[in-house]
Amino acid sequence: MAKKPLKIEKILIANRGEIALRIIWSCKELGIKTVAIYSEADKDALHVRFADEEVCVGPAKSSESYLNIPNIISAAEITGADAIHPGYGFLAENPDFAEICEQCNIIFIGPSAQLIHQMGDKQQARKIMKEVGVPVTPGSEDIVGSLDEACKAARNIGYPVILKAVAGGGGRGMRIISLEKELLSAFESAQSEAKNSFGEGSLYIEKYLRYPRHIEFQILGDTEGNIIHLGERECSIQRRYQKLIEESPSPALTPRLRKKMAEAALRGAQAVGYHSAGTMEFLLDQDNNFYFNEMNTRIQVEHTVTEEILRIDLIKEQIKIAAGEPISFSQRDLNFRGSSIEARIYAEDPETMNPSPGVITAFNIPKGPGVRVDTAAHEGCWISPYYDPLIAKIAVYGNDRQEAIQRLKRALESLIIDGIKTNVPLHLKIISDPDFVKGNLHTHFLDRFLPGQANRVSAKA
Amino acid sequence: MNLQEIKELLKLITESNIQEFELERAGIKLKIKKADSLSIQSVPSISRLEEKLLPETKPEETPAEAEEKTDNLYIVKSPIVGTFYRSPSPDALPYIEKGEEVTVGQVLCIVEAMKVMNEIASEVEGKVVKIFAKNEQPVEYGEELFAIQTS
Repeated sequence: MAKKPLKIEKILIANRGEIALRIIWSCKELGIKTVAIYSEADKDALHVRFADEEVCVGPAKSSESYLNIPNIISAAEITGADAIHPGYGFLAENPDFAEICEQCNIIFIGPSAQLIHQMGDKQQARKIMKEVGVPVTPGSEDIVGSLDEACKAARNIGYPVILKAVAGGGGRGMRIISLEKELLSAFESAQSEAKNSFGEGSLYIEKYLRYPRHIEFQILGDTEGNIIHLGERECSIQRRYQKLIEESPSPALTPRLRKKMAEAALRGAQAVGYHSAGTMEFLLDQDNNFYFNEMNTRIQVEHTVTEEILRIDLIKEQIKIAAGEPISFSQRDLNFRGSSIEARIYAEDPETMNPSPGVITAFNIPKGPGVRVDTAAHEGCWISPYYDPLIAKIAVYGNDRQEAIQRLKRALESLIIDGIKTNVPLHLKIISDPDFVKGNLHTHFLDRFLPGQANRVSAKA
Repeated sequence: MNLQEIKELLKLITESNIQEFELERAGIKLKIKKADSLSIQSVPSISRLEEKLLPETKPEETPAEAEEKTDNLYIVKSPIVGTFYRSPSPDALPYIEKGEEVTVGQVLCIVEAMKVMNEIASEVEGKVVKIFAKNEQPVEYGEELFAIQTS
């Protein structure tokens, strides 16, 4: 059966490491040529080795290489690439980059610059969701300019509340308040912290969820207007906004709750006319109320667990959508089966949790049934200090969650990475924990596994 | 200076009689040159891309080329990705030939990126002993272009 060739013949991958390789694999299977870009620190990297062409775009520093828009666009031009896949991180959610690609007649594999910009503004995204009846975390409509306004808003929302900086991020200018009498000092100090950190002291108030679960829905939309969801992923095991373990399906969702949340996710995606791959993030509280948190307009690190339970290829779908083709399947074609859990392996000192760069002297990845490893690491490779220290993703598939946990345990036990420190011991501790096995997860789950909070050995013993 | 302000500034300059414009502020250097052969419409997008050429941390227009001294041999490497040209235009003579003496600041070649002709100037004084790149060859960051014998 002769298939019409895709109008995309060559893709430049504006990324590195495991995701660059991931994209190369799908391109190879589609018969699409690949161009790797690399910094001087990555000249021996696997993504460079396995791409059809390679272009050095700068020195080690990200801002001068993987974030160097002119060099990246120029690399696409001199190699004749039709499209650029930005991966995740780096330029993936940079609306200016998406716009420049458009202007230079290069297909950006992702949503439009306008969609990236729109969803990148958290307040605007919340407003849009509210308008179409997607629940959002109860919060003040606008900034709270005075202590009085803050009090009123907090009473409306109901304690506990969290004060947040409008201009902010990274936890600065944030205060959790459980009682009204704490509000006075919290308000003033949050304001000045925000002013000092971001130059602007405006605050808004949101309901504070004590033990929320991070539940996100994978969305795919094509240019013909088809928007489908591919189920949820639970990513509650995280530390300082860095996810460590992700799984699909979530042990917290009943079929009824899943249906409700999926409908809300679709409603939100339809409201903005979303296309390409994206993720709707929700927070689920202890009473099974869910609230929209934000939308990610890129392929995500944990896309793998969704692929495992559905037996699909999300990167191929992104490429096809970008080439103007419809999604390969419809909502009812999707067959959700089994359970998939992924552990992110980072080059990290287990005591201090600081990055641990170095050369990998011995490397053995787990194999056998139901194990999938996404990595660009190998024996002798250098995990450099310049980039995110993600070494590998170990994802397993099991017929149910119990089997998946057992499989992940034996996979992690056979993983050998010598020469650098990794967080594998931490992963083994987490998945053996009774609460993890029971599925009692929430975003503060890791707190008791962090250094300084572990049981102290008494001086006498 | 945000993108909107830059767009407005470009609009003003485009519509005026100004031929050349240069502005330097914290983290940004804008240089706009109107070329006779280019239509007025294309100038803003070229200038905007030129502004993006500069990483936020560096105020200089072109990053310094790495120095490699072996027996006073200085290797000129491309600071950007693009297409290498020996001459300022197709029918003009090459900027320099092998054996010629060059001075600091003398233009050696052009590396064109996204329709912007970037002049690559010599950082040293000496004699051009080797030309590595061929005319119209695509070059990457760090690609060797010339070898200059310094005294």
